Amino acid sequence: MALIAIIDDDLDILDASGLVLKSKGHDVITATNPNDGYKIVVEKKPNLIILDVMMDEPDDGFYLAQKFRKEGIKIPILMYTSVSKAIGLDFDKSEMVPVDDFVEKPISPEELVEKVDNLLHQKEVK
Amino acid sequence: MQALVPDWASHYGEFWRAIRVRNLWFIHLRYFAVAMLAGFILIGETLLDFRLTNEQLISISFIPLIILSYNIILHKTRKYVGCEPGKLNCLHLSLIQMILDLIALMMLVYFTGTIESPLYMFFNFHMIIGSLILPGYIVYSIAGFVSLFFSSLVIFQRFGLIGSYIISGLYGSNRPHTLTYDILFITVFMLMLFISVYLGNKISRQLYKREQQLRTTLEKLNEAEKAKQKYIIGVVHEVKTPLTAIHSIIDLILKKFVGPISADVEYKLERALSRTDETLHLLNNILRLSKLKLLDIKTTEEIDINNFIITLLDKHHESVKTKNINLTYKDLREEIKSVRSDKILLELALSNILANSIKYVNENGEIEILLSNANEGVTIELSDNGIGIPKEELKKVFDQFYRASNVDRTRHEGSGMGLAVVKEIIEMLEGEIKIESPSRLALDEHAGTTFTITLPYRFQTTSYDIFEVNDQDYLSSKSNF
Repeated sequence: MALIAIIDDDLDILDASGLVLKSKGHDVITATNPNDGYKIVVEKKPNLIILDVMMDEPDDGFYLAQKFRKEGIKIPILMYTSVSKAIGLDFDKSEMVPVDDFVEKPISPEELVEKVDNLLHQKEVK
Repeated sequence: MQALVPDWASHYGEFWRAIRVRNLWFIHLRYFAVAMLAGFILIGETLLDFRLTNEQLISISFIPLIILSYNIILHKTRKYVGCEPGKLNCLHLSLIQMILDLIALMMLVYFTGTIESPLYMFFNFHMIIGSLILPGYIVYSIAGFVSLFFSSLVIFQRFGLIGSYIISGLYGSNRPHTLTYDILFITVFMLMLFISVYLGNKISRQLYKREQQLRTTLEKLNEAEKAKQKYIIGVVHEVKTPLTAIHSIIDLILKKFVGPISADVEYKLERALSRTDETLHLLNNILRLSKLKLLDIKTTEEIDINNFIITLLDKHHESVKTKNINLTYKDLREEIKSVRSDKILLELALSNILANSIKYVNENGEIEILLSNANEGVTIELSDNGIGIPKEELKKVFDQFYRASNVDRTRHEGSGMGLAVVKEIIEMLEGEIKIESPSRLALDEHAGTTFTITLPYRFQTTSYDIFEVNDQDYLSSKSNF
């Protein structure tokens, strides 16, 4: 199937999402900080990047997403957020946040699988 | 001319607003003064037997005309004079007004007898008004000029250097007073002027400073409130992160990603999942409320409220249909006007209330929404025949964490934050929200609830700076005087 990179500082989230995606036959590589995340993406060229917002890190998820795009890495990015978008006051897909979709935490396996499939499929169509 | 503006006031909206309002107030007052003066001449001549000379009569009649003409000019030009400290501003206008008034008064006093004129008292009045708006040294200088000019007139008249115009009808003989009286009078007059200026200036300065202190305190309080909200957001996020991980893991086990589990374990895990769900819901609502409190509303737009409600109802169509709820909506307005407000926030608030009603109405229940005119706004009334709210708890519904005691907690999940969010939003939009129970649609076993939301046509972003305030609106409002 596909190679998916998951970058999140929460090991349990890495474990959980890894489990779900592996069960769907994907290969998963993980990193727990933006630096390692950058490295695995550049080295392994995954088909999809799952990136946590990582508010606590000095170079957070947004920064990393922008860095990928600036360097011409066009791999689709799915962003994990724990910020509720419900009131429309938070970020959304835009120039500032160059990601392709969001998954809100807590992650539901069905939603994750669906969004991952969508993004992978989108790429094939392109 | 720049020195007119005290340093502390130059970027202080409240000060400028006060000056502008007072300028307009003086202009209005001056029309009244012209009328009074005309009355003074008329009544004096006809009823009080002033026996004014022709020269006096002509001069005195001309003065109110002059005052009237410059007042009209001031009235017309006032709105073109801004509040920029560096340029010609409303403070200069105050000074110009005051000088013109003093000249007119001095002429009036001269033609009614200088030291004998009862009108000299009005100098004092001008000093007090001047001290309220102009910086101290200017008003002191003005008081000095007035004293000097007045005493010169008195002295010159005593020695016959210039003509005297006493109101002959009021006196028996020509020169009723001695030189000592003149000197005493002038001394007391000067003292009175300077003391008035001193007191007026001191008090108004203190008032401005107090007001400024209040303003800074308010700002600090706002800052503290924001810091508190940021802290809450931080803490809630910290709690939420592990909780989402727990939730994800339990969900994973329940969905058999890790392997088969027994029915007993599955049931327990389902309970654990629903408890984490509840907590997450609560945390999300706290986050929402805190973010709302941090928000300054800057963008407003014209909202066609009828369309707005119809769109909102569409969004809830599914849940209404599932419960087979009889939902009616009527637009009862006689005057159709759009509402200027923040669309996203308004939608969030109304959506919350509607969802609330849908949640607590039984199958086949009823919800009715009425839109009507209110005083300078619209009223949206939402009634249902759901479970209602116990009377003694009505006051508490908008409190954070409140949940009605008659809610079946195993059936309805909720954190009790929804209505607190709604109230916060409606108040931010300068509207009002009220709740009643039982509602109009009450049935025997179901009291039902009515929410009444009133929204102003024009929501104005709160601002303490006169530069952002439409001063025409501000000054035309009577309540500001």
